[in-house]
Amino acid sequence: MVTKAAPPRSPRSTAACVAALSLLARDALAEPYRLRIDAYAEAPDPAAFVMVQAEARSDAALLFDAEALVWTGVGVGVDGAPEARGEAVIAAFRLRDPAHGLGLRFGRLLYHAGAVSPLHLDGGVASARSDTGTAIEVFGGMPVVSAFQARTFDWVVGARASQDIASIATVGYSYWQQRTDGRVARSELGIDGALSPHEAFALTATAAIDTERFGVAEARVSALFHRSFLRLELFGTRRSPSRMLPATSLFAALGSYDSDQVGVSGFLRPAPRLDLSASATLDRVGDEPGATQELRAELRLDDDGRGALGLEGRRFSIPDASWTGIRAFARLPFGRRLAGSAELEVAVPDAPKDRGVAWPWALLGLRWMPLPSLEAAGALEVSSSPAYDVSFGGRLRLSGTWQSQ
Amino acid sequence: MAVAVRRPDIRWPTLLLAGALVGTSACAGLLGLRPTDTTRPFEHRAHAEAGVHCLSCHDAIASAGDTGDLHLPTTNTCTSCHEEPHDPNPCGACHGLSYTRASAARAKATLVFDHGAHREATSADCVRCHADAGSGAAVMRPRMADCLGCHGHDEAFAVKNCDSCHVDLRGEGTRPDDHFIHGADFTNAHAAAASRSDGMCATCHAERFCTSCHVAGVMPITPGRLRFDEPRSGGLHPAGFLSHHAEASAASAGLCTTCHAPESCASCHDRERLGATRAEPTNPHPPGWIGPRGSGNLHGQATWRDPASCEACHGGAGQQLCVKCHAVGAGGGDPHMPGSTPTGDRARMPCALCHTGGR
Repeated sequence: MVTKAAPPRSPRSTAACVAALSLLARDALAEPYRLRIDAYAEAPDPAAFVMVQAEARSDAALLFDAEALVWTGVGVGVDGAPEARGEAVIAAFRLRDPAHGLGLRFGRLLYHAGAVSPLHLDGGVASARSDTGTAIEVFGGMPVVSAFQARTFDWVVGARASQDIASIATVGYSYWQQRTDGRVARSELGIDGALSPHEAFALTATAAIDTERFGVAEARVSALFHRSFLRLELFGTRRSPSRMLPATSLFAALGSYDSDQVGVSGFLRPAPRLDLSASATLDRVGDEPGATQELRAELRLDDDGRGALGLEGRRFSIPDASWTGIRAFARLPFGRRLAGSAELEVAVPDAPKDRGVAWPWALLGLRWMPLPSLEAAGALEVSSSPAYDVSFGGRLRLSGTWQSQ
Repeated sequence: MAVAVRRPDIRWPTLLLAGALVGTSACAGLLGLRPTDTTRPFEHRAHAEAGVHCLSCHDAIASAGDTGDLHLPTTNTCTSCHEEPHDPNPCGACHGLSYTRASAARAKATLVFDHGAHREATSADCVRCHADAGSGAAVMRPRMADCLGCHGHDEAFAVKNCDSCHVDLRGEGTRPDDHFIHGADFTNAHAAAASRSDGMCATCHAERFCTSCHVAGVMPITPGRLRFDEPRSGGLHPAGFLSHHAEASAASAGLCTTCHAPESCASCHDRERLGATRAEPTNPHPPGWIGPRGSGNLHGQATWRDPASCEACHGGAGQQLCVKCHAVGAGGGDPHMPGSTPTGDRARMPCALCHTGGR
């Protein structure tokens, strides 16, 4: 694969960008803001990172908010040596004029337009919505290359148009096209629709067509019935591996089996503190059938849900990959500043293949909040896995939040 | 002839029903069916029947504005009438529920609302909004539907502008359980809901929430990973996932690559020496995975079935592993699925990997 380094940006354009953002930021700093910093470390596979999240918002007629998420850290490289890692995941600015239905987002952002695949890009999105329920969005930019790697000369453009119909239905069309070295590398056409004739019922369907290697990339249909204490959903999914593979991958040219899934999921709150949920699916991967089932119960120990007990069971039945698991968890507050947690899971594979008949995992955690804006949490974990008879580990997190009053 | 008539055996259903009733009654407090708080709701009804107007106690409401103090009466307010209280402790220790006050404080902080501005419109008739005052309800705060009785918000809803009432809906942490429960299989099913309008998600979720799954960083930071001390929140991966991730990967075709870069698999498998050619039981591939032509050679079928999971570990430079045997002219044979007719320029990627020079 031939990649090109990004053309150097001119100092003049960079200065213009900084000046424009400074003007916006000047107003934002005087308005509500929130800053959160998390430091996280885990062992025995040493990994550590610092994550910074920031939000600022203005209350003028023209609404402005900014959001950033940046992390840097240390992990272990392929050769076992420490390796510095990092990512600027989000650095997005948003301007909105609610009175006229106009919006603008720019920076590094995640964009999802209807049925087509979400895109992580450096670019912008402009949107407009009319009183008649017509909405149009156009976007463009360069796909993000992770871990501060050199950017290839790629770009992506697209749009979505949607129309509300009589306040009970929405139909939307979306399209995007990605080019590499000026040639079309990937493109998708999406159609999405939703029908909600009653507040308790919603029918939604989406389909994304791969227009480069023509075929259904992904299709979904969902019928949902919901009340405050009950939720029941029937859903079906058809997915092509091409949805997830880069167009330049060798594997994109080898196979074309799809995977299908139909299922039902439900949620029931029989008592104010008790939640029950369940789901079951029938799957087809290639030409092989499979099924999954999941049951979960959670009991909150107080009205605010600070303490909770839970139990869940799972069953995955896919040829050569079947297992059954059970998991129990608890979270117990000890006063206002301290909370403890415990988790225990046992997974039992149908075909152990000399990897042990059961894989248990347990975690004991403690969280301390010396101040409302500061918290520290630590946990010890022990497990037995296919790779180890016994393995011990630890996790540590320090979090601080600052916000305007 | 005597006919034996078997009476229906009703013991078990009866016992079961009785057991359920006894169990529910015994656990009513635990299940939240009976408040366990030793305090009690404030006696609003008794005061109203005695002719005490709301503003007699909540006198600071009119001037508090949106950002002023909370309008709850103090012990001094009570003793101005109840001159000889029966208990020296603060009145609020028993009269009125602590979580009601906490709820009111939270509402004050998270909503744009000025009681004084509503006084004229309601003719100081507080019950018009606080309709539960007469029933002795624990929580007096009107529901959102009560606000919408006068303040139509179709337009604000259409443009997803919640800021006219909510100070910071995304930071508020309010769970809209009454109309949008993220239960059961929502992780898998959310795409259809999000497709209807991405603005709907954004009213509560910041963009970074989506990126924890939808951005293939070298170290995905999912909420479940970061908030390991809140096990009830669950996560995309159930606890102990590492032990059975091979099974999960096979069960969900290519789903891993939605979040994980190929390096995240390769760095671990290389370090632990879990290569495909080794015979250890922890080898991710089963026996017979790779062999001479004519043998089982399971990897070919698996690649056709789920190329995305192969890509998860062998993407990028790892593709050379395939090309070594399957390049045109090499001994590995045609890797394409029988009957498939790949289209594309052989001189360009990815075809050029095997079709050197466009052959």
